[in-house]
Amino acid sequence: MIEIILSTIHVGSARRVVTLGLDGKDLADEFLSCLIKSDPRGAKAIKTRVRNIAEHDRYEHELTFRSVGGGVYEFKRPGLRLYAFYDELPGLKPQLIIASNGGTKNTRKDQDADIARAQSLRARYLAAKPTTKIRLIVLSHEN
Amino acid sequence: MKIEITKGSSPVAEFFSAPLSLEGVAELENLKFVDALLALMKKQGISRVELARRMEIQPSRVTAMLSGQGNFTTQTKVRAAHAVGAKYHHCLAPASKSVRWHAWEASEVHPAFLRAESAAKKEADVTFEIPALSHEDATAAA
Repeated sequence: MIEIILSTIHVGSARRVVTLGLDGKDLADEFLSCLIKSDPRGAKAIKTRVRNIAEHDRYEHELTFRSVGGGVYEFKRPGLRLYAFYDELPGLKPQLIIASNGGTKNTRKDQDADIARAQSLRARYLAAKPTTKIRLIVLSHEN
Repeated sequence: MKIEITKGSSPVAEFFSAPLSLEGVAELENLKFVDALLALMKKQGISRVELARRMEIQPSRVTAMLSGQGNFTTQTKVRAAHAVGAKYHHCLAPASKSVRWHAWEASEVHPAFLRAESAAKKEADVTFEIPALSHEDATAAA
């Protein structure tokens, strides 16, 4: 059975943003950890976009948060992309934006591979969700 | 499905939940401005190229602006607003206060709720003007 761990990184008025851990591997957390160290300016730009988008129940922006197909969206800043999808859990408020993985500006082929990985992670999560115990880690200062 | 909720922390969570820097706040305000601009562009079917033409700037500058990059000048915001038939407003309020914007058409408001000066203008042709600062006032303000 797949283990699902959702780790909260931000709680907005409309959406809770989490990173997706599947089977002990959280690619979004790994990507953001590296980004914070290697490109603090880029990480801050992604943080600003996360803050903005979490204030909307559904959001789409052709340049900063756009659909890339298969239910996956990308938080975008030139040279950086964080892939995510919307989901709902019963009784949870606010509901979720789940960040699955990220990528830097590489070739179109690399971007397509990152998008395919995001779509695959979303599919695995949605398939496992009905029968799996989900561990949701909330922020230490949340009530 | 069973959901287990626990509290926890990680370097990534700490980074994202920490207050925004002033630079981040400025970028967030730019993104909100761009959201409103894109909504008006969409409503009126204005493309990025058309916006650039109306603002008399290069399309690449429009793309950079819509990405929320850089620091917009007030002039850029005023020109972008004008290009989509809007007007740019801003407001300063104490940090402890919440601010809510609301746009409405005067024709949609019942006369009883019109602002006093508007009603007075209609009925008595009275105009309200803010006099220019006198030399003494300007000196005191400085």
